[in-house]
Amino acid sequence: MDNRKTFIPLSILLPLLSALFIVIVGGGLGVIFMILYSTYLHEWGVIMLGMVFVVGVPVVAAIIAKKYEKDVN
Amino acid sequence: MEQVHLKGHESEHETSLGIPHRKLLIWVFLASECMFFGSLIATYLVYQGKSLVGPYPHDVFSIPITSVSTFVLLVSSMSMVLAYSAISRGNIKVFRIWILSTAILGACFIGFQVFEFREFAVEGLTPRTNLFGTTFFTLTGFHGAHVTVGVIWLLSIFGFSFFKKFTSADSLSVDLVALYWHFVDVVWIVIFTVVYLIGVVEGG
Repeated sequence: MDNRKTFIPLSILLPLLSALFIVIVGGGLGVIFMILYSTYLHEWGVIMLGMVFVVGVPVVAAIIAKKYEKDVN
Repeated sequence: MEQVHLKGHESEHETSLGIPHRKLLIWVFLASECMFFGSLIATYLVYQGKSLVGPYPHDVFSIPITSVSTFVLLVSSMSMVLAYSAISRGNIKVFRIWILSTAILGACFIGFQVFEFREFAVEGLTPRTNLFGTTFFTLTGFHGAHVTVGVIWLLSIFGFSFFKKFTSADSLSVDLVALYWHFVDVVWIVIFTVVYLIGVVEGG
């Protein structure tokens, strides 16, 4: 019961922070896409940045994960 | 390394079907979501090609850009599988890396949707413009809302992993969010095929 009491503020705070993260990252990326679209790159700018995320995020995650992979029990 | 206590799902109360209550609940919830999205997709198809004024799908859709956002969501599903695999093996640090990666890719998909909706509005397509606009924004808007809820769920679990020790119940929580995330991904594949690809080919 005590444990539950401790986590009640977190169960409100974490979703709120998560929503803020979406507004900043999602909204920010949306604005960056709009700026790229308005440049001479046009839709290729949006495609290139999108591909950077498609390839970059899993690759960076895999590199960092490999570092901690040996820590398994 | 931080301690992770994983005992499988044996401490969960099980239904007569042999699966935990929460898992049965998420399957029932996803079944109701199938009906929800099924009716929205059916509505889109019923009104397809019946708009009296433009812009029409082939005027506004950019298949290359939407294909990239589809890849983003597909890769996020792979990332989710790796997160679940890590927590199943009891490696909390690797789990955190992959669940954060999934959330970032989900937020990236939302960024694509923000950009797309704004570009459509610039080209004169709003929910009020025609039947295509109304059904399209309702369907993709609700899907975007589901992705947003999924990212909030993922980040909340990511945050909780720093504040409490993971138990078997938490392992199940990751299983539940993974099921939800894969569902949202599959729904997008259907929307991309039915709305975008067929929309451009048929020109309606």
